[in-house]
Amino acid sequence: MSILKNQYNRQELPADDLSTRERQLLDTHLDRERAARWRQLAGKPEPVFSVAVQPRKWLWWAVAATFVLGICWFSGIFTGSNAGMGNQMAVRTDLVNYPFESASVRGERNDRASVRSTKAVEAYNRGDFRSALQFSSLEDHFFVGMCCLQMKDAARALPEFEKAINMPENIGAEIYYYKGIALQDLGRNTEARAAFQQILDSKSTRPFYKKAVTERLEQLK
Amino acid sequence: MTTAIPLYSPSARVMLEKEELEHKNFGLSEARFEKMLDDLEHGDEALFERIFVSQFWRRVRLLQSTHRAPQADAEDAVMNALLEFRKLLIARKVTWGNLEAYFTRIIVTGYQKKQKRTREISVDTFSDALAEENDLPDFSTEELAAFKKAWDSLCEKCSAVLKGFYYDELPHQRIADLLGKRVDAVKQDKHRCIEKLRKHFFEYL
Repeated sequence: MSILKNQYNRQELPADDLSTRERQLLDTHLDRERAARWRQLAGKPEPVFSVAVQPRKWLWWAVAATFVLGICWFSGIFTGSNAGMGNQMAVRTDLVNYPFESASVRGERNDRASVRSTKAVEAYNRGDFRSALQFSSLEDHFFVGMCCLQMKDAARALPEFEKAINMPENIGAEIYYYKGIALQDLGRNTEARAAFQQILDSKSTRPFYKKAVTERLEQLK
Repeated sequence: MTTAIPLYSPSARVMLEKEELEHKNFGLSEARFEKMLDDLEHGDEALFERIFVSQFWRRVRLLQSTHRAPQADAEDAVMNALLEFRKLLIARKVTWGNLEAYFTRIIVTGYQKKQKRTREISVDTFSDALAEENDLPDFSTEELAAFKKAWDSLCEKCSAVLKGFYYDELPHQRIADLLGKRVDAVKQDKHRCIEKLRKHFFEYL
């Protein structure tokens, strides 16, 4: 302690003023007080990312929003084109399904296939009937009718089947099977029976269609 | 010949320029800056702390990234810059206009100065000027503790007068205006307060 006191010779200290050392001590003390207080006020360091983000917060929000929108676009949420995202529907098991791949309904002309796009067929086969409708042509009445029938929209399917039947090149009876189902779904059982009967009466109807029709007629009794 | 249509109206342009200027001055308008200086002189550091101390960690990070400063050195440099900046503001040696650039310069200069001091000096580069640099002496813990006790034992009037004169380096007239006293009264107070401070300091030393 005496060593310290020697640094401050009271005899030599100015009366009306602080000595140089005293002033430096005052400065140091007040600086330290302030520094300690400001350290406390400053708190913990910000995470590095937030320092970078802070001045351009709006830009980062824009980037994030664009990213999310891009993901939604590619996943088909806006266009509804992604079957894996809930557009898939259960294929009806109460009717003879139609794969549209290699077979065609008897009576359908071969050139009808050129109207039908591969995308539409693929969508239909994976159960995405909504997308299949979007990709299909409006002239492809049978295909449109089948999509509607699968979606249990008989009211929309029936006119499509009628248009398909009325095409001069379509002379096959198997389309009547689906027309009959549409009529049956609509509760028009008498007309449904008549449609099914046309299939049974036709010689060109394949056996599994006849079998299916027979079962249907049993239901309608 | 077509006339160019201005993108912004004159008043909008003025507003944009004003916003840009405020952005360069930590969001402070010129009026608010003057208010901050007045507050500092009166001992109210709230606005200063809100504006500048909130910048602490951002400036530390910037110094670390631009000068590869170790964190501890960067923190010291920014803290010293804050202390120096405060004194410059009170002395009204800093004007509103580009406070951000000024503050950054103080930080960087302070850091570079310290780096220069701590670098090993070879015989070839030895300089008398470097040797005579005016550094604060290292005070012992006992000295600082004794001074703290002595300072804390002063009344508010004494600490305001001594802080105003020695720490903020304000002239007698300005201190008199702030305390609402006459200049000679302030000088007498200063004399009395120095005596008190010394008396207590030697008691605790």
